[in-house]
Amino acid sequence: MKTRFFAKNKRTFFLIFFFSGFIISALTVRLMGSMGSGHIIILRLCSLCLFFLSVRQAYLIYKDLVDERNVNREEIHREKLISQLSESLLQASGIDELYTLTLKSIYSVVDCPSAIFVSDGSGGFTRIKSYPEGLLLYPPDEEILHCLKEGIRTGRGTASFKEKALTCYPVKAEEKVLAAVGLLAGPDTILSASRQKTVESLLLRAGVALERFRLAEEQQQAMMEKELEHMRSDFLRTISHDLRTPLTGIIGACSALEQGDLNLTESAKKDLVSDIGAEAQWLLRMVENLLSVTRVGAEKPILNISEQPIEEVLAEVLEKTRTRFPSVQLRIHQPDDFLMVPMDATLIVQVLMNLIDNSVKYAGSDKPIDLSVKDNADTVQFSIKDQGIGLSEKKLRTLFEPSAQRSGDSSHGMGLGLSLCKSIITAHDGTISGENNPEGGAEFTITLPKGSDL
Amino acid sequence: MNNIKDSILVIEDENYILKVLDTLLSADGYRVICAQSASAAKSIITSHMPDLILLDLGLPDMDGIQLLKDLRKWSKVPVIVVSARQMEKDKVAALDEGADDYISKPFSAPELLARIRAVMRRNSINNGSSEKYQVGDFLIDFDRHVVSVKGVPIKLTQVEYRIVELIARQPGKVLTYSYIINNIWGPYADAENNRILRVNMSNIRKKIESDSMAPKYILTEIGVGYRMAEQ
Repeated sequence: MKTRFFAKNKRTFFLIFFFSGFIISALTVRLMGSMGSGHIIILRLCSLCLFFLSVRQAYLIYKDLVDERNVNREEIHREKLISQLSESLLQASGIDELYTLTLKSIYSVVDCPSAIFVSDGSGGFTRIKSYPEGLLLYPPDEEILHCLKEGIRTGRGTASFKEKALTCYPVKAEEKVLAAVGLLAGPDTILSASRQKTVESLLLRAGVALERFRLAEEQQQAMMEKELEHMRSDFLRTISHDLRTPLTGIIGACSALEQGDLNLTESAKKDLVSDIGAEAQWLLRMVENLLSVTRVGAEKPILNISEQPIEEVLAEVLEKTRTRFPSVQLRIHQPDDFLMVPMDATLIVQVLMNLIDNSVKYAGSDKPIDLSVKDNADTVQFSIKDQGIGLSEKKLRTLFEPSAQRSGDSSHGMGLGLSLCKSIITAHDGTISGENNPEGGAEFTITLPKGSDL
Repeated sequence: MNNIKDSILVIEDENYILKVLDTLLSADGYRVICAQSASAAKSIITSHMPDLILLDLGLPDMDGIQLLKDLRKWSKVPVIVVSARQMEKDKVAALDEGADDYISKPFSAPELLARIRAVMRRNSINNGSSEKYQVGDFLIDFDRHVVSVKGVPIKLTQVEYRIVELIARQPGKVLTYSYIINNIWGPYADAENNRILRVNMSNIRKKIESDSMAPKYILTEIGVGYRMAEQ
């Protein structure tokens, strides 16, 4: 109690001690002659005591000054770190980098490992990242949940869950808790107030940056949704048009057959029935394409990938081509060596059939179509080449886009077919391109990765 | 046609398709029983003992595969599974659970009738009792372990012969990759990695088919398995 009182008024007491010591020693000199030697000694001792106290006081003042300087230095260091972090946060290219930067700066300030957690939206949380990386933390639990929920500091050294190993700090932006950072201090250390303050101000910066990223992401999402909506309505327009054409044919043929008074000849009736069959077959292929669109067009394509021998895939395509277009000549060229490629076989066959379908319909030639497979180092390349009229400039530009502008097009279904091919090949991590062969005709090329582990 | 009509249980929830199938199968001389749900089908199977079941996998009250699984615990009645196209996984699962064949929707009338006849025929003859199997110019003599095409013996390795024999013992039936691998390389073989089977099949075809791009004897069901051609 007394020491604290002295410590509080260091300068005043230094002055009091020093001057009273000075006065007493001066008095001693003055009274030297008129007083007994016993008194003189007592006075001397008194002044010595007072001088000693004033020196002690001076030492305390000096220590304070040094401490202050150290605190100042630490504060400057902290300020520097914080401004460094703010600066690098501004340049962070993604949320992931932002997390790493934050954890790294915490490590450099308080010298303890930490990890970042976010709420998983269903009452739990997931660990996003730790620094140093791969760090194994104690099984953390309620303290993190509590921190995420309440937005307060929890765990070691706080009021709630103080028996836990982690100290959790909320990362907030505008009172919203975005994440929690768990610090794992050594077993005996509890962070000093100034260090806690540093961590908190670091996290404040991180929170602001995180919120900025989140808003940007939200904005982008909204834009994508708008785009998607646009594509969807475009797509529906294309399909309704494409579906209506064969349906008109089927309904027309049926009504002709139903009317007894039309006097159709047997062969005319047979023709009508086979027309209905052909249109229905076309509709079926269309529906299969649509089903595939829903499989590969989703955010996570549902692929049934397995290694398939190229020769079996090509044999399937050849057989399908022979049944669908008996008069078309398809020549197959493939490497001699046995070759397997990971793929969703049904979808790849569908892509190849769509391309052959296009060649048959649009090439305007009855010369053979060539389907060749080439084994490149990391990929396998399929190419389908016809000897027809080739692709027009306009078509080349929008080849793989689902187009709704083709209403009135006599041969339906191309827009969907090619855009589907593109989606399927992209879902396989492959590439597809279409161009005019210098020797004439259109050529479509597909590559599929060989070692893909989709 | 049939003196004693064979009965077929059609399990299908779509009224319209049920009607078409009923008409088609009745016209071909079968006695047709219909069920629109798995629960109805179960009681009909025990009360009527159909000769063949046509099972649509998409049922309202139960997964068709599950129904097949339950059925196979006590009955060997032939089952043809009807499934939507593009669903190889369903096909493989159905075959592995003991379906005799599958047919994809939509199918044509002759195709369906041919499948039904083939399954009926396979079930009436005792598998494995015959000594030879012939289709076209292809002949396999199970006793002498010899495969020949156009009367010319073909040199097959041990494994290749065993694959051909396995497939030829059940002509017309699709054998899934995992079924073949389990039977040739044993239950501990990695059935997921069927490369070894595919390579062997490629070699077999080079030896027995005149054009391996258009096989005539061992047919590919892409993504599912292999099937021996029937006469």
